[in-house]
Amino acid sequence: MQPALIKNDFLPDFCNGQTVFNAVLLAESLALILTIVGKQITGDLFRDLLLVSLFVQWIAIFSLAVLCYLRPWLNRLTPLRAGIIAYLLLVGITLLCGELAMWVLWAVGSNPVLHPEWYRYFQLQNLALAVIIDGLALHYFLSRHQLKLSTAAEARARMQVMQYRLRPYFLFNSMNIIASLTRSSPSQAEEATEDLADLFRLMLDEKKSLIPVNKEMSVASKYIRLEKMRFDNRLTDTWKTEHFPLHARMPVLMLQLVLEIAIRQSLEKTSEPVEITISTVLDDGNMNLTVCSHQLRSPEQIEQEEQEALNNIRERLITHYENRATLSLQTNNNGQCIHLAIPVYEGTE
Amino acid sequence: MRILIVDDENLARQRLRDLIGDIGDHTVVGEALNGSEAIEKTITLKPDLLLMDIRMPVMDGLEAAMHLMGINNPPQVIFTTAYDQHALEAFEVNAVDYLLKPVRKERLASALQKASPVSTSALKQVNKAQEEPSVRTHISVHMRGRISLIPVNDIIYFVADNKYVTVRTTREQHLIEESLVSLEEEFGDNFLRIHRGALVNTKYLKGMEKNQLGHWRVLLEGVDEKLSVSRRHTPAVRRWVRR
Repeated sequence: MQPALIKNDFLPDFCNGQTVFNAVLLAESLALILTIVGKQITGDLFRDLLLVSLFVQWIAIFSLAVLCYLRPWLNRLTPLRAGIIAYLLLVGITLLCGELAMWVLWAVGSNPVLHPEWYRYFQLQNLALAVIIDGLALHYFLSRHQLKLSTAAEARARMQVMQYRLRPYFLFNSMNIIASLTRSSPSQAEEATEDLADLFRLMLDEKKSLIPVNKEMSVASKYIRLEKMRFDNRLTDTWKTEHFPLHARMPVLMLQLVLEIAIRQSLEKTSEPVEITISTVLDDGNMNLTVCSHQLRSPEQIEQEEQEALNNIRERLITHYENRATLSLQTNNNGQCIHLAIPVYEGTE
Repeated sequence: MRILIVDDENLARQRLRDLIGDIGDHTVVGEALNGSEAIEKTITLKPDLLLMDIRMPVMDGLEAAMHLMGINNPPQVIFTTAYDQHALEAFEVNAVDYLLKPVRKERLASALQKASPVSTSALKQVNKAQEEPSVRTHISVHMRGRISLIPVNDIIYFVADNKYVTVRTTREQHLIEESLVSLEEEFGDNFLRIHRGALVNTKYLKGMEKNQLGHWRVLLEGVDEKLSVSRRHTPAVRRWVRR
C-alpha cells in the first residue's frame, strides 16, 4: 500500500467538485433564508434573492478559492493553528467582499457615496453572520473529512488483519503444489485442496477469535501436512501432546502462526532435513504449547527477523488475556523453542 | 533451449519440468536446490537459461544471478516467485523476467521465447525493492571463466586501490571490480570503515595501536598486516574496539 496516497491532512480538498457543489448549495440556502427573513431591499422578493445570492455566492466561491490555494501551506501547520487561521481568513474574506460590494455599487452609480450611512450596519451584519456561518461550515467540512479519513484508516486496518491472516506467500505456494500434484498424484492433490480449504475457512472467519484447542491442533496438523508436501521429505514432525480439558480454548490460528515462524526460520534457511517437535503440557492452570527444533535459528535472529509476526501474536495475547499469557523464545533439550503459555478457561473474545 | 531449473521445492521443480515437456522444443539439463548449487551447475552444465526461484535457503536466486552475470556468456535468467508485492514492480521497471507461481503454460512458453539477458544493475535494483533486501552471503571472483565464491563471513577486509578492491581472507586475497561505497552500503552492518579506502570486518577487529609516528593502526585476527586508521575514523574505530 502506498502511504503517500493516504496522507492524513487536516483540511479537506476545497478544490474538488463535490466540495464546491456542497458549498454553493449551502451558500444558496443561506441566501434564501436571509432574503425571506431579512429586511426587504428592493421591494421585489426575487430581485432581493438575486442580489443576496450574488453577494453570498461571491463570498463562498472566493473563500473556497483562497482555501484551495492555501491548503498545502495550512496543512503543514498543527490542526489547531490551521483551523484558526482558516476561520479568520473566512471571516476576513466576508468583510473584504462587503467592502468590494460597496465599491461596485458606487462604481455603477447605484450608490451616490462610497460608504452610505447603512455601511456600518451592513458590515456588522456581515461580521456576525460570518462568525456563525463560517464556523458552522468549517465544522461541517472538517467533520466530514475526518469521518472519511477514519473510515479509510479503519478499512486499511481491516485489510492488514486480513492479509496477516491470509498470508499470500503461503497461499500461492500451496496452489503451486496442488497444480503440480494434480499430474503426479491426484489423490494427494485432493487431500491438499481439502486441507487448504479448511485452513482458509478459519482464516476468513472474522467472527471467531478463540477456538477449542483440539480444533486448533487439528488445523495446525493440516498446515504441517501442506508444508511437508512443499519441502518434500525434509520436514518431520513429532507431536507430544497431553490432553487438554475439552473446553479449553485459544486464539484461532495462533499455533499455526508459531509453526509458520518455525518453518520460515528453519526449513527456509537451510537445505538440511528439519525435525520439529510440538509439545503440549498442562501445568499450573496454564496450557504450554511449545514448538522446538534443533535447526531453528537463534532467538536473537528470530526476534529480529520475525518482529512483525511476534508482535502480532503478543498483541493478540494481550487482547484476550491481558498479561496472563506469554510468548517466549527459549532453548531446551529439544533445541530452540517458541513457547506459548495460555491460561486455561480464560480469555475474552 | 537448454534449461536449468532452480527451486528448493521438489513439486515446484516437477511442475516446471512437466510444463517444459508440454511446450516441447526445450530440454531440462538439470535441477538445483539453491543459489550456490545453481552456480555450480551453470558452470558444469552450461545451460542457456535458468528458471530460478527467488526465495531459497543458503543462497537466494537474486544473489546467484548477480554472481553469474560476471561469467563469460552468462545464461539468461527467468525468476519465479509465489508472491512478492514489493519487488514485482521493480522486475517490470528493470525488464527482469519473472513468472508467478503457479506458473501458466502459456506464460512460460512466451517467457522462454522472449527471454533476454539481465544486467547486474537491474538485479540490484530489484533486490533493493524487496521488503527485506538480501545481503549477499558471498562475493564472487571471476577468473578465466571460473567463479570462486568467498563467504562474506571469511572476509577480513576490503581495501580499495585505484580501480580495484582487494578482498582479503585468512587464506587468500583477490581483486574485485566493485566500489567500496556500494560494499559499505551492503555490508555496513558487519563492516566498519577505518579509512577512506578500507572496510574492515568487525568480527576480525582485535584492537588498535599507535606506531612511532603517532598514527593509529588496527590489529586484525588472522593476518599480521596492520591497517592504518584515518584521523576522521579514529573515534568510531576506538568505540568499536572498546566494546
